[in-house]
Amino acid sequence: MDIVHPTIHWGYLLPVILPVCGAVLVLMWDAFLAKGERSVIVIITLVTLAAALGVTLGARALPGLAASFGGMYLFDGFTQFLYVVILFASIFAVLIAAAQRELDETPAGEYYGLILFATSGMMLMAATRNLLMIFVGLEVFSLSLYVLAGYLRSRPEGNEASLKYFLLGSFASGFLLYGMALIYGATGSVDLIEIATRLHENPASRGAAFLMGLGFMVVGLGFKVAAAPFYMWTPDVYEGAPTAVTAFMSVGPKAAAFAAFFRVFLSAGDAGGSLDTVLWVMAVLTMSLANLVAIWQTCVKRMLAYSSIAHAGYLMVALVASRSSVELATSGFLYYMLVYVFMNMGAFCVLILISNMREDGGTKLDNLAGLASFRPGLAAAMAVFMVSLSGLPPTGGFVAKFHVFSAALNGGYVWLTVIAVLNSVVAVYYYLRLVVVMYMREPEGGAMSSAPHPGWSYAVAALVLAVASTLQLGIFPSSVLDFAHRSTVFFN
Amino acid sequence: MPGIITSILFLPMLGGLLLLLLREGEGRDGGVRAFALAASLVTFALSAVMYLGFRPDYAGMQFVEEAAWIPRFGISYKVGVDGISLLLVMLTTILTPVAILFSFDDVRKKTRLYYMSLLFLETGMLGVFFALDFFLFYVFWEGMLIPMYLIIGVWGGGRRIYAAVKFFLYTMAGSVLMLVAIIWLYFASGVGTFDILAHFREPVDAALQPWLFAAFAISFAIKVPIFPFHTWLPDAHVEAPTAGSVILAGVLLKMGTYGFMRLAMPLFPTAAREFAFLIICLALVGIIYGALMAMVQTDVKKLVAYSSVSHLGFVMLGLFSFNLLGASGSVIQMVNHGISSGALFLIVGFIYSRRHTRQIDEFGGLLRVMPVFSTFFIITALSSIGLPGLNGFVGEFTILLGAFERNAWFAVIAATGVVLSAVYMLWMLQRVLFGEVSVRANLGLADMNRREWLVMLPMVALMFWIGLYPKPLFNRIEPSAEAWLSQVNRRVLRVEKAPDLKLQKNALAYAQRVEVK
Repeated sequence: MDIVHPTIHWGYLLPVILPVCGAVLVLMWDAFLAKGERSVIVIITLVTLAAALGVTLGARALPGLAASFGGMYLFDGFTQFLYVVILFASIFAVLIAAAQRELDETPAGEYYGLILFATSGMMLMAATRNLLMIFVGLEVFSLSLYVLAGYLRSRPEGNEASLKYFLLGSFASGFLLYGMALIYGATGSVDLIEIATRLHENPASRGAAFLMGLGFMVVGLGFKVAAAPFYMWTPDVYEGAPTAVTAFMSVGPKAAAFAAFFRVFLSAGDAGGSLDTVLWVMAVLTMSLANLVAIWQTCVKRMLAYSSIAHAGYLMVALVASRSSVELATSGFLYYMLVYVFMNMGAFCVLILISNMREDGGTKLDNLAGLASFRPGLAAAMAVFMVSLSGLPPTGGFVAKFHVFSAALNGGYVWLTVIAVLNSVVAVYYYLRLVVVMYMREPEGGAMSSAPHPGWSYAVAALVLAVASTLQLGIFPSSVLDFAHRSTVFFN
Repeated sequence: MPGIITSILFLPMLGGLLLLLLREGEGRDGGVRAFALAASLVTFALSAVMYLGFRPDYAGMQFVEEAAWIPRFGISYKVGVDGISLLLVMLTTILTPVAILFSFDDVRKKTRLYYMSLLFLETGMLGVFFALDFFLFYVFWEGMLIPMYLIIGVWGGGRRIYAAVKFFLYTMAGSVLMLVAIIWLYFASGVGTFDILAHFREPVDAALQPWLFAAFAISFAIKVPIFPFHTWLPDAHVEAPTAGSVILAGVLLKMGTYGFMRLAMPLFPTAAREFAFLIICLALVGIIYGALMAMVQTDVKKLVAYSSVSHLGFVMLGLFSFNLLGASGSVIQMVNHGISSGALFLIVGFIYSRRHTRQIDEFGGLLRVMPVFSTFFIITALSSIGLPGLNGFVGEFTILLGAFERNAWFAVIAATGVVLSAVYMLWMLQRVLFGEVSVRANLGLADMNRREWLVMLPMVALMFWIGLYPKPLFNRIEPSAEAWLSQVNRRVLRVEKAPDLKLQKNALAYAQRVEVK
């Protein structure tokens, strides 16, 4: 038997290798070289992520060279864009964690090491056409996030979050793996291209086992993107985790899991049967339930948790449309994801700064009262993020929604689009309530700590980047849109 | 004049951004106020230059500027002005400095944010009137909600948050449906561009028209507002600060009627015909209902708000009469209502700033105490009623003629509205101005000060000018209104049978003009 040496394109692997090396370095540094030197660790992490981002942006995805390890690792346009999304999410997670007071007393090396490991896991999950690699990537980032969710060990909410996330998450992973096994059983391959070919050539493989496998995978992936009815864990975990981790969790895993969702869904093709309808219903449920519940929240962090579920619903709309309108839906998803990174991370960053200002670290809606009077810049930034999350012009959120809705209409999903836009009206209510509280109410008393957190400059950098990008993606979206459209090509 | 529209459009926004460089605070707001006023006045001056350079005999878009924006979707930055939008643009650039000047004493807190909102709002409104691209139009249409929301919500009265949120959600609910319709139209027509003018040339499938028209119409009907979508209006008006009410009544409501005229009707003429009877009925209900509601109000501001519902019913009636008189009357009526109701809100603001109440029974006999104020009040009220010689008459009379041409009963019912408007306005005048001074607190009221004179003079001058010599306005409106009419009727020729000879002539004239250009 011949042993075929696998093709490996090291340059394309570099964006994943860098965070892994960075993680090891950070852990070592913290353990042996300089204990407690937070700022050095933060800088190392940032440099690693920035380097990975630079390599990603500098790379050119080429059809012949995309696949390494026989398709286990795939660097196509889709991967490239998602790398940008995931790396930006990580950069934000690092920046805002450096400014969060609650995290000051926790071990730095582990935190940033775990962020970097999670990053590499998400990237791997987005960059493969192999079911097993999807699972490996998912587990790599999930395990890191289970730990990060309970990073504030002394807080009962943190422990609850961690445990809940871990138990339900492993259950969902089980579903996913079982689904993969069934698909392998039906088609005899774990490679999505191979699976698609066999489904096409051999109708017998489209039987109940395949559909069941696909269904199980939808459950597993639906859990990770927090789509209804598998979103129950989200609010509690998001509320219990440290805010910086919540921010990261609301973006990174979504990007990775949706990437796998798109690849699997598109590979299944016609064989997916009525999967369209299932996803249609899931999208509607996700948007509607999340938006309706979000209205009643008084804790901003929890509200943002529901908002992130609602956004998963809008992304599901793109997923549903992706079979009948591939290019628009896929690029819409990518663009939406990128915008979502900036607006959502920005909102969490403001939240961290507000809870830093208060002695009790509160993230209640009332804690924002009259913010515009004493922190006009912070309030204005938050207003920009809220406007963008509501999908109003002239922000990135509007262009993203416009793009996704275009895809859905082009794919013939008129009612789905109508439900989605009406949902965004509901969403406006709770997003704008923040503006109401910040601008239209008087500041309330309460112990304020005036001393700025030593890491505030990181937060300011994050805020400036987030506001500028949110506006730029809304007013001059053309170049990034072109990038997103170029990235819709899936290389075999 | 290359770039004139872009300059007019973005100058207020630029001014608003520059306000960030100025200091604010108790007693130090002078710079902010003066700069905001200057920015809006320069905008007005530029728009006046545009008005003078406008060719009245040309029906198409003038001063058109176009630049690629999002080429992938065929979205461009395309702006232009014709006889229909020209007057609404002028109305905007006139009312904004007036509103700013009025606010000098009225607004004391967060002044910088306030004037920023007003200036951003001006850019938003101008953008709606200038835009010749669906996407651009929508961006301004929605973007303008946020500053208006802030103006009502931050500087408004007691129930300001409720009113602001209601205003926002109502408008937004309508406009997202329009967004769906716009995207649908883009894909269904196959034109491959969001250019509005390009879509005019491409008839829309008759089966699709009712749906798309309905989506556009709901969005615009909420804005106008047409009965029964009007319930946000009294709340928003009553709670908004005076300047907000002036802009809201003066310009924002016209965006709805303008939307019908610029987009909904010419794009979907067949559906517009089908829905015409329904919309006219709603407009007539609005005319009568608004007037009756105005009659029973005890709050002057609410009275003026309901009178808007009534007056805008006339505009809708004129538009859906599908004839030249109705169309040009509607445009004039939009401008007139902007001036009259804007001025009425200013007047309400004057007494409110003195007495901090707007209840009619708190006043009486003001004519003795404040003769100049009362004179202005009477002129404005008469202009709102539609007294010949003042602006209101010109618009309403033309619309009634147009409606009569379509169906005499429409004109008869609408004329009742004119009578009713005289009833509620004169009755209100009588209770507020005439008779003995019934409340002691009113005895010491000061008459108009210099700033208030400055605010009112341009309004009253416009009332007389349009009332006595409306010809220059009609000259500019008519070619565009004719072109509009042939656009609205043109495709009906293809779908329906018996074409009207007169309309055919218009269509021919339009076709020739298009060929020449």
